Amino acid sequence: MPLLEKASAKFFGTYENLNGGWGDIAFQQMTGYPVKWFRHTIGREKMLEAIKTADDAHHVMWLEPMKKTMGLYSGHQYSLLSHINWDGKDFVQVRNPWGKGEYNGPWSDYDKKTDATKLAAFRAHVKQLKKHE
Amino acid sequence: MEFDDYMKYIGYVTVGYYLDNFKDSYFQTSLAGSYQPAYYTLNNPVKQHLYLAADAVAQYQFMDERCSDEKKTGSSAGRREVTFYMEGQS
Repeated sequence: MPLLEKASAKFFGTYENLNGGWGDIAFQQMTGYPVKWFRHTIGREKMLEAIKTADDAHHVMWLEPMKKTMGLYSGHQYSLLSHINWDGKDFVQVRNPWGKGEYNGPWSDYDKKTDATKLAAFRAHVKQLKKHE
Repeated sequence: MEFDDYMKYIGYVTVGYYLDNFKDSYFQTSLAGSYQPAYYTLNNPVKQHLYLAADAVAQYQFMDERCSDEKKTGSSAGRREVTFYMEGQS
C-alpha cells in the first residue's frame, strides 16, 4: 500500500495533493476501469435497478450525501456495501471508510423509534445474509 | 438505510466497473500474510507508474524529501512544478 500511495503521489505531484478528492479518480487511477454516476433524476426504479445490478456483479459502489443528515456528512464519501430486500422494503447498507461516524437514522443500530421486534428481525436477516457472503 | 431515504437524502451512486467479483478477488499471499488483488490489468496506470518508479529508483535518488521549489515536504507548490533531480544535484 505505501508503494501504491507513493506512485499516486508522484502522479499528482506531492503527497499533499492526495489529501481529499474523489473516489472516481482514485478508482480509475488504481484500476484503469470506468466509473458511472447514477443520479436520482433517473427515477426510483432505475436507480434501484442500477444498485441491484452492480451489487449482484459485486462491483464497487460509493456515494456522497448531498447534505449532512442522519449521521452522514456531506463532503465525505461512503461505500455502498449492498442492497437488501426485507419485508417488501428495499434497503442499502452504507459504510464510513473511517470505521466510525455511522448512519444513525431509521433501521440503524441507534434507532429508538422503530418497533423493537421488527428491528430485531431485520438485524437477524442482515446477519444471516452476511453469513452467506 | 431505507432506499426511499437514500433517494431523498443522498440521491446518487457511483459504480466502479472493475472486473466482476473484484471485491472477492483477494487472496492471502505468503508474504507477510498481506492481501493482494488477484487480478491486474495491463492498462492499470498505477501499475505503469510503479514500473517507472522502480526504474527511476535504480538510476536516481528521486522524491526523497521535497521538490525543487518546496520549502517543506508535501507543499502544494509541487502541483505547479514537479522536478526531481539526479543524485549529486541540489
